Amino acid sequence: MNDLQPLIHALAERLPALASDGETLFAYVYGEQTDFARLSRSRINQLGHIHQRRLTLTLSDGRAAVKDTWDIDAGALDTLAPRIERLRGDLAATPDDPYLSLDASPRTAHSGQLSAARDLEPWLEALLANAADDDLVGIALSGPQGFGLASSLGHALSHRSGGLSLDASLFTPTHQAVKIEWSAPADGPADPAAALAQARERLALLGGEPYAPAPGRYRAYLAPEALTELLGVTVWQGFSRQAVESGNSPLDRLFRGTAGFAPNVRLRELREDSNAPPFGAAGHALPGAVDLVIDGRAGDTLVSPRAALEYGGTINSDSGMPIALTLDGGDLAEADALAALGTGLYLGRLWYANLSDPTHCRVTAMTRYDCFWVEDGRIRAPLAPMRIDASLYSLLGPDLIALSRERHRLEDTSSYERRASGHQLLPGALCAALPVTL
Amino acid sequence: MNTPQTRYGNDLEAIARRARDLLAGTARWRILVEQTDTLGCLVRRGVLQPPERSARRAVLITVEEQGALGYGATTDLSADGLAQAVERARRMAAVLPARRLGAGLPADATDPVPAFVEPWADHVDMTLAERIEWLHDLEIAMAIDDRIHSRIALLETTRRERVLLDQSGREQRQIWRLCQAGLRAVAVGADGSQWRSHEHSFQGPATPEQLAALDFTRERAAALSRDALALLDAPECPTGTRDLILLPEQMTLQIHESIGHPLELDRILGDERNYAGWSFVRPEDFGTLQYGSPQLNVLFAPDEQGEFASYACDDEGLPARRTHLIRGGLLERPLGGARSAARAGLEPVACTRATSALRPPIDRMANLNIAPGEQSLGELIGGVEHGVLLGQNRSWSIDQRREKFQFGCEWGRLIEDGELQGLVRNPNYRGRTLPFWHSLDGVGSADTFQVLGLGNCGKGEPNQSIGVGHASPACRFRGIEVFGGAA
Repeated sequence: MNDLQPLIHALAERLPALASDGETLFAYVYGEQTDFARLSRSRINQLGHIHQRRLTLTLSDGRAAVKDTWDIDAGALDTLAPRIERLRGDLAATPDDPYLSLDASPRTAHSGQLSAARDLEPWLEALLANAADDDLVGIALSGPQGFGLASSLGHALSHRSGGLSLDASLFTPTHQAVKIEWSAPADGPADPAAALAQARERLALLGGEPYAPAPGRYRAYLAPEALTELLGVTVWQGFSRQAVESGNSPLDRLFRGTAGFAPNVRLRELREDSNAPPFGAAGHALPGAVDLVIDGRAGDTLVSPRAALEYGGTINSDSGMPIALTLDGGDLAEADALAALGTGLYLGRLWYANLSDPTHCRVTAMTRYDCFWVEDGRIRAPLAPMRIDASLYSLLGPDLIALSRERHRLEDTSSYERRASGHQLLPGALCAALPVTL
Repeated sequence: MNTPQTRYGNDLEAIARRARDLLAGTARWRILVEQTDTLGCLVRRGVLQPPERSARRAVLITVEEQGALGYGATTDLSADGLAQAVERARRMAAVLPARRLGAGLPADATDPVPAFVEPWADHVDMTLAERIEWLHDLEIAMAIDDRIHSRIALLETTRRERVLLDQSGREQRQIWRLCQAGLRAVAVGADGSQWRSHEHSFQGPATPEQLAALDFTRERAAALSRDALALLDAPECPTGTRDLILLPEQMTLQIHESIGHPLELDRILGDERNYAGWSFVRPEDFGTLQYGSPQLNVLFAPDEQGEFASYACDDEGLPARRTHLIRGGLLERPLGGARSAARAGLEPVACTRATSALRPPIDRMANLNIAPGEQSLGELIGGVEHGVLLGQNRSWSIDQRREKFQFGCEWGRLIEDGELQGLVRNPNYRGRTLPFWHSLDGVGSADTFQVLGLGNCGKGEPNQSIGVGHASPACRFRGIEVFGGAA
């Protein structure tokens, strides 16, 4: 399972014979074997194993394409012919597609790595033994992931990733919490005791009566983990060429040139640093780096294969959404963040961000985890849950005082349908005025 | 030649029986086998994207050993694959039994086990060719002006079958026909863009007649574009405290976020605190907390035919029954399945569901409906001096304990002195859950009632996205904070 290479090579051998004259076949395969431990109140709530292997077959006759995705097992090659036959029927009913784009540069490559094998069970035992007196809740995942692509043209690409990760929270009895995120191989050897000890130190800061500032505008420091929540909802469609051209991008004004960020804002998509495969679902090679915002002004958009044909440009993305967004750091040492903040809000993490005014890239979100009221550079009280509602053009524009020198790598820990790939690499941001609304 | 068509019925039951045989010697177990077949089509700016079929075929084995549960999920349904899934479930059940949260599999079934066999078995969905023609027809109807930069028409149908077996001899088979359809027109002007959309998630056949009855018509498609263009020139929604009338298309979101999620018992117990969040509701609030005004009546209604999350039994085999969660504004019961309810010492409802056989079931809200009242829409509007009428959700955000929310809509219309006035753009409103529901003072009559749904409610770790149904009349709320756009 952790190596799809044999299957990919078998598919690459089989597909040419299954394609009729003028037809092209692409097969994209995803597989994972995942042990999961769902924790609640420092106990195991749900514990299990997921094995899945899934194949997406694309059939094209050069003028249009149709797709079929299904779960496969060891007999996968035997399921191809009847699926292709049904797809031929679908293709006959499908009109010409002027934006059809399948890569025509066959190649063979293998990439990625799996972290050193780790067994979830002993690690989990150590974690729970150390957390017996804590209120720990969250999810631990462990296991390999594989991606692969083969085509009747000769593509044979495979990529491995996966490892052990923990995404958990430690709570106080008064609903305050700190987050523990740990991912191998990015963060090195796992030490549950050390991770918990560090979290308890942070949790101790959250004792005491929460402070609820009145609605208004406050000086604020947004940790990288808070900034990622605001950027995440913005970049989902923000840099997509298709979204920009069709009025669906909240960064419309950036690309029109009527709005921008501060000159020290430089955003890039650095796929080369991610654990995602370097090829798209249609076989295209994807660049390691794309400049999205340079000196606060619009750079490139992210151009999917279809968008390249519809709107022009060079393919540099699979979907138009960044999977390795990187914001350059600044001059502010993290250790000096509280002193530089002075009096205001220290926001460790936000949650449930959504666009409240897409035209002006205005985003609302709630505080969650590690949020404090700070006076004269010292933490005075945890914050009561507060709502913010602010334009990113302001926060990262005229209101941006400084970006932190240190940056945090924030892995995408989501697992809808499959364990996600990708990350963001972000600094913290010190802002002059953050609107608090509720 | 083998056919790719799904072999339904006996095939899934045969897989379940093979898994059952592998579980010989295990005292308590459950098997969930699933086959889901989906066909999705989307037309955008006059071009059909590659049509996509997909099939999920998987099994979830649950084993209980000394009160501890272990799950083994797999897409490998070969003899070896099933054996490995059973072995992994057993191995997981044996891990750290002293560190379990408690509550194993539900008690053995004593009630008769109902079946949920699709009521629409005689209705045939549109063929692929018919879908393409239908989508193009609606999509082109939106092309009324060069400022409409994006036009989308989509249709996705799903046939899902699940078979559930357990050690008590319970054998449950359910079949669903799910349909999701949507239209969206995006207008771009000198000052930005505005969009209007129309969407439905329901159970039933994908036929032109069924969809036309849900207002998927050329006229509605063209009206969406006209409305989006009108929003470009509309004034911003004013800022201030106003009365609010929410149409069912926005009530869906309001119910979902500020009633459904806070009442999920696994949240109340704290299981979702790391991801989807907690709840302000406490176990002792049931039977005592006045959640809203006396006009608020909320029903858990898994039996509402055609609603998106109707079923006969949940994924643990508990028979589904209609029941009040809130009656006359008083909170009566949570959305807690058998396992959560046992932990909390409360009575369960049949709401434990898994998004697929690759995930363990958890508490989900299913169909959650507000009962209609007595007032017509005209009477609701007539009772407002300064207000806003809002439709179709665009933005949603709420804190992790489900108290402080802020929602935005695609469009609004001002109400002055009991009369509807002009369109406003970027309308948003915010408030706190309990005061908001206490401000409910007008519930629309049955002719304002609509059955709607959402296809992508996210929750759980590992993550699970699932469909839910919500039905509601138009509702009026007093003294709500509203505001518009601009930085």
